[in-house]
Amino acid sequence: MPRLTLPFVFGALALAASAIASPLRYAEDGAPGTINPLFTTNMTEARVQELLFDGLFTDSRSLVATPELVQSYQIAEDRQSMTIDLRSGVTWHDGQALSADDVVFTINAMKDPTTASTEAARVSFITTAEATGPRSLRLTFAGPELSPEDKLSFKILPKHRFSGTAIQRNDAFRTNPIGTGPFKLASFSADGSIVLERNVEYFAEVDLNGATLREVADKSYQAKLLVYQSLEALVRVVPRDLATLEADRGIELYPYQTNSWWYIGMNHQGVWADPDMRSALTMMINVDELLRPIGTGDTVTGPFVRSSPFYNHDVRKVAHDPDTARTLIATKGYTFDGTHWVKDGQPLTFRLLVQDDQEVGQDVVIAIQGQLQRYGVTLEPEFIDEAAWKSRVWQSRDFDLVLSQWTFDRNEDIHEQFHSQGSRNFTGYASETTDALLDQARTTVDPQAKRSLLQQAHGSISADQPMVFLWTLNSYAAVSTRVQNAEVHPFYFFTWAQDWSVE
Amino acid sequence: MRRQLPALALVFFSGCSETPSTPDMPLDTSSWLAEAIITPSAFEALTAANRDGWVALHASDLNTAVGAFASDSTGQFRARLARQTVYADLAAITDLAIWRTLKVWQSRGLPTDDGILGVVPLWRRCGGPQRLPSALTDSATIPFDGTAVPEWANDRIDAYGADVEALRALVAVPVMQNETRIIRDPCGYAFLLASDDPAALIDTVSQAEGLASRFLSAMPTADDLVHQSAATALPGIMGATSPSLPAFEATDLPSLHASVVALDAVIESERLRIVQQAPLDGVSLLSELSLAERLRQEVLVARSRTLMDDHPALAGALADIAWDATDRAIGPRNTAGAASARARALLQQGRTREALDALEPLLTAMPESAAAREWVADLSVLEGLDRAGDSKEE
Repeated sequence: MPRLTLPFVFGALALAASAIASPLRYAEDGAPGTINPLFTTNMTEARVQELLFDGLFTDSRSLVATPELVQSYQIAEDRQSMTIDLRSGVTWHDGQALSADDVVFTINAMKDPTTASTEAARVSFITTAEATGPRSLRLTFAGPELSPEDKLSFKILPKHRFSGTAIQRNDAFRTNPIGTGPFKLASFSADGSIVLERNVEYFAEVDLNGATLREVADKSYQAKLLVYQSLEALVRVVPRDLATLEADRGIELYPYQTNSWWYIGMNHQGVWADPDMRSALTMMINVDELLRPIGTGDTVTGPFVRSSPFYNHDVRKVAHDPDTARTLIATKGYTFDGTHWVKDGQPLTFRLLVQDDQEVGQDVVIAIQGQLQRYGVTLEPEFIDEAAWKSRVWQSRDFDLVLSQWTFDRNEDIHEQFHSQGSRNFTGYASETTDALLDQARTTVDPQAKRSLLQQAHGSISADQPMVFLWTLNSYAAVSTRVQNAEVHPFYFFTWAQDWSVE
Repeated sequence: MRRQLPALALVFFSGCSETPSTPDMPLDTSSWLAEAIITPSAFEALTAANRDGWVALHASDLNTAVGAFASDSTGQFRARLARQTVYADLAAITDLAIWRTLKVWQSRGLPTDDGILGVVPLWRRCGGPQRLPSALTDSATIPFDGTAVPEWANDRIDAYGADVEALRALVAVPVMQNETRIIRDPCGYAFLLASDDPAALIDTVSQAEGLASRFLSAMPTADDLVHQSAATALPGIMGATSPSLPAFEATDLPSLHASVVALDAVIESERLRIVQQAPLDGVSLLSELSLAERLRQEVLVARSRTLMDDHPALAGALADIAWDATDRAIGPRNTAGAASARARALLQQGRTREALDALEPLLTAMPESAAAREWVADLSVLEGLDRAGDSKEE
């Protein structure tokens, strides 16, 4: 029998190792409709983008901004500009080299009003971006920036894949993206699964041998798939499944994304422009009753979770008070015919939009429908897919009510949701008082003053009731113990996924 | 539903009039789990005298437990040890939050006022700067040091020598508050800690006999208690290296997980052994009171604290594994010590906002934790002043 040569042995060992390393399979309630960081609106998109794209800076394990695509940088003495040298040897997934032009292009595309990027606010502090060399650039700021690296984590896009900075939401890039990240797209299937493979050209070591996103709308089924080892991670476990997963020693639960709350948003372009009608709706909805079947969670009175430094604990919950609600509706010219509230021959009816992949949301909608029906208000739920949601809610604002949830990173910046000029304010809420408080909170450098201002904003928003604030749920991710070195970023989840591995 | 000791304990006793018929193997009551469940008389003796105290200790309602146990009972010393452990965490959290706050404040050149300038001299009264773990601080220089103790602190300084219960009530109250500034007590937990000598408490408990010295603790056997009391004067890490449990060594996440797997195997084996030998009501009690889970949490949290200063990420991972996701409130499934350890590990990792979240459940169970919570809340906001916030729909 011939002796095995050393190269052969090492080669065999390497093959064995690569055969053992498995990709990470994780579940999302719905597949992302678009993978383009210019138009990110939900966490499903944000999470998969974290695997595909890089930013100039990223979070270290201790959540400090640390260079990612940046090799070195210098902030001007007046802190109104900075120069950046990009890391050498970084390539896009199609093999082209990363250049300073890509960074300049990304910033300009985000700022281009024709693009209408949902992320535009993240670069509003940058006035100009210019390439000063193949891998060097200069940014100038609207004002002094003490720590601009904290704001430069947005994802960088390849200029050569676009024809200009005015980019359409339906650009082909959305289903065929390339980034510089540790994983690259292998397939984006019609069944909602996305397969990412390890980027062997990545500038840093990548231990994880790829990732697969599976669309699984049924949360209970997600949990079963994890228990039976058909998945390695669930990004969000609903409270009712926590006990099962907690008891499974093959699964670890990671506290995650606690800055998240549910709400019923009201479109201020219609009947909800009237504060009395908003109050009436709030008083007709029994939030505690809605929450009970979902499981453990805390009701909230405003746009922060209870553990937030900005939560105003002096704001009282609006009492469930259908009698007062009826009185308010009657003062608006509606009459009750014994079954419905009617005005000008038309029953009081609202369309409530919810995304069709929100299994828990669908249960809540049915419960809300039942509650309002009790008081003579007809609710017409519409379960729509993500593309329709983006179109009808974010763009054309074609809704009466929406049921959704906002998730915030550790800054809990509600400016974009509640400022009259906010990019995420699709309900159309506008209040001079709230605007002033939010503007001051953005500019103050005193932490206690900022807390005070945002606690006042909580009070102001709660008084205006632009939405029915519902609850925050205990949020956990679940990861199989077969996944080694799993550390979950508290917002983006996969920030350090290249260091994970699956046994 | 919250598990409560008294009612179930009564059920247990009513069903325990008969000892189990000939067991398959000789009863081994060396662990407190086995002793409490397999030997009804031991558990009956334990709870008969101080039922309210044990109910409170089981629910991790530590202030109630301290008040409920007879002053010279082992349970009283156990409750005080548990409370001291939480105070030690809160003191560490406060120290680190103050140091980071002052450091960021100074580096940003933020305006100073009487409140900010008065923090350090007051903090020095309890040796705060000296307690900072060197592994977590990159400078021995304390910002804004060198000023005199402000007048507004005099009343609080007087209170530091007062009765423990009075100080406990005062800790949550700001030391100073005006239109622009609120200063929380930087020393309250340190003085609460100093009010009870942990070494003496450990000594007393370790010399006590019977179940009371170990029930609901991280030390399953009497030998473990003796070993641990000789090994440390720090109540928070007692039980981390009990001889009856698998050896604990964690240098990275895989080795940490391996240690958890080994611990789980031993506890599960013990649980199965007990189930085989205990009367039916005992088995029910074991399950309803989550006693095996409690042992696991106590051990993991004690182990987490041993890693706290040098390996905060590992300490945090262990504290997360110990935390029961099914019930966020402090109670039988999640102790006050588990919450404070998690918060401390998160803060030491730089995860300030998450540490704030981890402290939240403690506020209800121990209102005196408010001062630590507010220091962390201010720090969380201060550290985020330059960041661009991100938000998305889920």
